[in-house]
Amino acid sequence: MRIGLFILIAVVCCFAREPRLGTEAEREAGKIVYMKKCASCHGKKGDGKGNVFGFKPVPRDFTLSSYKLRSTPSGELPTHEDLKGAVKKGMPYTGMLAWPDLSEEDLDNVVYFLKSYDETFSDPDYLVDPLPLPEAPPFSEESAKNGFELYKKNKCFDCHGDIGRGNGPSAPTTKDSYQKPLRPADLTKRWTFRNGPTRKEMYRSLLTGLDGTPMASYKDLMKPEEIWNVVDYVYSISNELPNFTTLALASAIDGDIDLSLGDSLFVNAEAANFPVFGQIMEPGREFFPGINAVEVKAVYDTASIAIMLTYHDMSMQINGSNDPTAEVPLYTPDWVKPTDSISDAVAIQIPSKMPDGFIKPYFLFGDKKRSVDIWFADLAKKEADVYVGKGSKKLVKQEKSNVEVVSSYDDGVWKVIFKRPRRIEKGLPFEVEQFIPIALSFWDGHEKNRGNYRCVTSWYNIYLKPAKEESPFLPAAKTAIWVLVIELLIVFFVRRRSAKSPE
Amino acid sequence: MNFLVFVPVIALLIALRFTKLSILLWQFVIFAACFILLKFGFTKPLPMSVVNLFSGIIAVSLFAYLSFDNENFSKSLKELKTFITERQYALWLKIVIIVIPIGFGVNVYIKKSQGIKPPVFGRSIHPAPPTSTSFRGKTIDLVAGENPFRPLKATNPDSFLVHVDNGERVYCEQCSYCHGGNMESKGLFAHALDPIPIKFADKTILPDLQESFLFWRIAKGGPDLPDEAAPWASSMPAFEPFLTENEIWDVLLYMYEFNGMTPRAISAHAGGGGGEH
Ligand code: HEC
Ligand code: HEC
Ligand code: HEC
Repeated sequence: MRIGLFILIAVVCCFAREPRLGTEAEREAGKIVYMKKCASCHGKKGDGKGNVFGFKPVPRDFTLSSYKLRSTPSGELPTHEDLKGAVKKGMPYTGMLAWPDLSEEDLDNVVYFLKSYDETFSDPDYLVDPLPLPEAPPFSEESAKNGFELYKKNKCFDCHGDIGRGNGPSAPTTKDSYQKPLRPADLTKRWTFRNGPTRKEMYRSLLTGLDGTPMASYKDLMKPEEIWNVVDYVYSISNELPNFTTLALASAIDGDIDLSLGDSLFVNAEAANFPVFGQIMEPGREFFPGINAVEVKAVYDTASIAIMLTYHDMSMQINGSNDPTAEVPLYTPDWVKPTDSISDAVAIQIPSKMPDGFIKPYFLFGDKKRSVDIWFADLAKKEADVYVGKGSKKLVKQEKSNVEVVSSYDDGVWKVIFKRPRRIEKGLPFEVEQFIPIALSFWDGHEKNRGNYRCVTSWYNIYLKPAKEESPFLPAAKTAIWVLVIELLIVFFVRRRSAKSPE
Repeated sequence: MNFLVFVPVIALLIALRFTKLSILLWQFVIFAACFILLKFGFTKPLPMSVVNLFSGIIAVSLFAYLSFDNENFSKSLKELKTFITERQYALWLKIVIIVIPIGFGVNVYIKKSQGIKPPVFGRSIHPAPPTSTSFRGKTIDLVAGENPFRPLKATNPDSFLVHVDNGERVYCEQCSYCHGGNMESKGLFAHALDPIPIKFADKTILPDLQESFLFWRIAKGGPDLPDEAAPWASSMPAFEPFLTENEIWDVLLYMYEFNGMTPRAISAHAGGGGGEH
């Protein structure tokens, strides 16, 4: 009886789910696409052993039957559509790019082909139906509030931190199934989610989990409406887009800048967000930057300027020390990381003098012809050093530092405030209404960043807004009146001359 | 090119050719048409600095055309005088006198209320390379230099494929973080770079360049760009410390093969790059 039932179920399954493997010709066509566009990362044998060495997470090994983006339960194979979606949309902030230009046909074919690396795809026993994925109910504050309770109850904070900044107690040690470090998502930055930033996509992540990572499926731990609550909580604390800009505006404040006031100095300053990436241009290359964005705010008074950098860092490192001139190997794989403590550090870089024209010093600590001033703050210490850089190998520490710094770390966020006199004897003055180039560097102590092994930004600008803002109406009216006067003069003189000498 | 703009403007110009416009008005129409084409006629907008430059050149040449022919010149001066003095134009004169200052004022108002924008500089031109460069102590001719492995494509396809494969390895190891595995410049770090990396999938880049020029760009990267090529704060690395000469030639083979393109033949036009796009 039992056996009969099993057979029946097996037979029904076979009929119900036909593996989608494509025809011989389709797989051949898929192979051509794969060998040209995918093999370099995923390997000619589909084993994830392509030629890239810097990506973390590493490219998927297609022989292991483990996939992150699924609509099927945890531990199961993804559907054909899931795989197509992953290829088409890519996985943000990983090496897996989006391939929006592949035709539907090519997408089908390449997925048929990559399934041929893994025989479980051709075994009907391993095929399961996708879980129901309902449309998102409308967002509500109420739901988000419940979500926060569930967030705590389900111990999401253990990895993602108390309020979702990716800084939980387990965060520094989470690894994926390839035994590579894998950071828990920073839930305040929705734009970095592998599955995508919409609420429906987040629901899918929580429902099915991301296989091969510590991010488990919560299908059996939460009811669907509870999952929606958690989704709404994550939605309420995060931004969909990073809102990156290229300009930081400094506002004038009355009185003197008093660093002991901390970040309350900056309540009225506008925030500018800049992207941060790994220094891979020179030896000491960083392919897995621990910091991916920074918020910059600035204020100034008559005598000095203060710039505050706010950024998320999974762990505070204030033991040991850091040094921007430290020697580092060409590339630091995980197994050669030094064991001694290295502290977090940040630096602001500005040109030593205002660039004439557009030519700035090289953005990696200057070049032979044009030097930069570097305000370096080892966050284990309470003071900042000033270096003059003529290239990342040619940093000279200045005897006297005219830069003060205060820093604080709270629940995954570093706030570092630098203060310098606006005008100094030798160095670029901060005058109002000028675009002053600024670039930043970050050393993540947890990743053993030091020397040229660091996270950087491109050149951006900082601009001191005048204390009183002029309405655009006045200059416009002035221009119009001048033009009018010139016109009237012309008409007047032409008429007078023609009146004097009629032809 | 934006044909929705190009076609009507050209059609209008042709249509106006058959009417009897005064020479002044005619010149004004030509200027306005050129400006519209420059400003709106391209799908990839030209930087305002370039538009202004070309508008300036066009204005000067139109004036030159006027003053070249004495008769034309005095004719148009006369037209202007008639317009200002004759009674029949009085209403038009008043309108013009009022409209022009308003136009200027509105322009200033818009500019001022747009908020503060940092100077942006479009990348408009490939830098001119030196005639030769030294790579790890060896001199490489950048004018007549050729990819030593390209002839293999015809003579020894198997060995050519070995070089392309090696180039693929180099590309993925070194370039994909910025230029992207699909050569669309959407690599992992591309969003954080300013200026953005070159998109090799673009049909107007690789085929227009000589391989020796690209060799120089890859070997020396952003740091060796001549001052004239500023304002680039280019993050393009100098690959001399990371790659051998053969690896650079190989990666070039791969980049062309991936996109199904061939490099520009060496021509009398010395200086490799120098093309606009
Ligand atoms: C530049 C390197 C690179 C290229 C080229 C590349 N991939 Fe990936 N791919 C990755 C990385 C890295 C991951 C792992 C991302 C992660 O685990 O978060 C990945 C993951 C995947 C996954 C797994 C998705 C999941 O749900 O886990 C699929 C499927 C995939 N790639 C297919 C492709 C296909 C098809 C192509 C060619 C059109 C391709 N990839 C090209 C780097 C690459
Ligand atoms: C054991 C550690 C751990 C726990 C507990 C955990 N997560 Fe995660 N979570 C991770 C890791 C690691 C990732 C990153 C996966 C990756 O990058 O591939 C992640 C990713 C995510 C993502 C982004 C998914 C995507 O598309 O990239 C969300 C959203 C998320 N987690 C929410 C939660 C919520 C809500 C909870 C609690 C219900 C939770 N996580 C519990 C480790 C954890
Ligand atoms: C850190 C990011 C980065 C990496 C890695 C990188 N590039 Fe670039 N590349 C850029 C940027 C940004 C530009 C555009 C600015 C410029 O032309 O200097 C560029 C420009 C170029 C150009 C100039 C094209 C022209 O028309 O002038 C070539 C050629 C080039 N890259 C080839 C490569 C090759 C080959 C590799 C790998 C060996 C590589 N790049 C790796 C960022 C990068």
